[in-house]
Amino acid sequence: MLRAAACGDESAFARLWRDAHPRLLRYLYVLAGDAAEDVAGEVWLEVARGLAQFRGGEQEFRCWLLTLARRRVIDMRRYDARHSVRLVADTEELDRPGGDDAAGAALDNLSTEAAMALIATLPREQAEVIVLRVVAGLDVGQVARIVGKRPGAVRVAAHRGLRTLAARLGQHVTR
Amino acid sequence: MSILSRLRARRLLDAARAEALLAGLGVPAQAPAGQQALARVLEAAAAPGSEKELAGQVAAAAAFVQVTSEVKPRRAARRALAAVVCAVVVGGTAVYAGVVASPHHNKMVVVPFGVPAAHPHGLHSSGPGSPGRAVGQDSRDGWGPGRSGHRPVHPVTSPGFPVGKVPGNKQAGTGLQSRPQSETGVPPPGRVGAGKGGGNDAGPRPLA
Repeated sequence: MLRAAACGDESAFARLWRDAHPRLLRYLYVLAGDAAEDVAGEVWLEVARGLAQFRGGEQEFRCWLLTLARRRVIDMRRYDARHSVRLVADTEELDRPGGDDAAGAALDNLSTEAAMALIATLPREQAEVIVLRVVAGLDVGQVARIVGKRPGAVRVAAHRGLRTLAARLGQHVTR
Repeated sequence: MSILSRLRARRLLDAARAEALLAGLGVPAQAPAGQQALARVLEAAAAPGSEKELAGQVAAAAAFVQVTSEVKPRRAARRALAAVVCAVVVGGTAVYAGVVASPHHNKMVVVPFGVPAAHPHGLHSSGPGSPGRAVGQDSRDGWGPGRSGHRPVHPVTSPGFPVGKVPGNKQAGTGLQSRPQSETGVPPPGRVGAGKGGGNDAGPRPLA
């Protein structure tokens, strides 16, 4: 599928997109919030440009895709830091639920969005690692390469994040 | 997070159970409620893509077709340009090497090894009575630029040139080499062609 897409096969690319896009979108939701869709579009354009030169299997492609996404988000953050004025369109963004509210919402209506919203309440480093491990299905070494940290640090961040989530969910269950 | 809450959280979820959750293995049935809820949340997060998430497939495929159709001609043009540049560079180098003689072509290296050095007066004096000059003996001797002017003065037979040390010298070791300057009357290096016969500038000149 990857080889066919690299040769310009549109249907192969569509299958590739269907497989990888939800993971990419969820990862970007944790990193970039509401800008996830825009960043994902830019990432796919970059993939389309560089796919002919890509060599590797499915896991390597996933790593490449998520690395591109991460770099895009970093660029976007730098841009935002230079142009620091950001207007809030409506009050919904200000009324975002906190960690405990998100835990309740995730359990009450157990949807993907609610689960991602709960994970996104974690510190960004922990949330990123958990999404890469659970949603993208990568192992510790691959995640460490993407985030630029040692495998031990990745493992610790993931465990801390899971413990925090377990504590929040446990409180909600026992209420 | 305080130390107590960290300890409590560690009791909630140990490392092995956390790794199992991250690997999507789930938790046993007797696990605490928090862990089971966490397993359900992680399962929901890793669920297949929803219709909402996959809504942009057509647009993505169209963008892919557009980008690949743009990239291919650009790549071909880049390759053609690289080929032209290579051809120009290689051809230009070949033409340059064929037309322009190398400055090292006529260069001779003087290695005065085993030959007594010529007297400085004999080499550099330009007066009429100087021994190295020997005006009028050029044509008689046959080694200088005589009237004919066609016979080249071979550098290896001239005094001051180390015979047998010049690369490619096939006359090395002949009797002509050892003739002293006073016998041969051959002008010193650098003076060839300045004598009576004149006009023989074609002979090789030693370069310092």
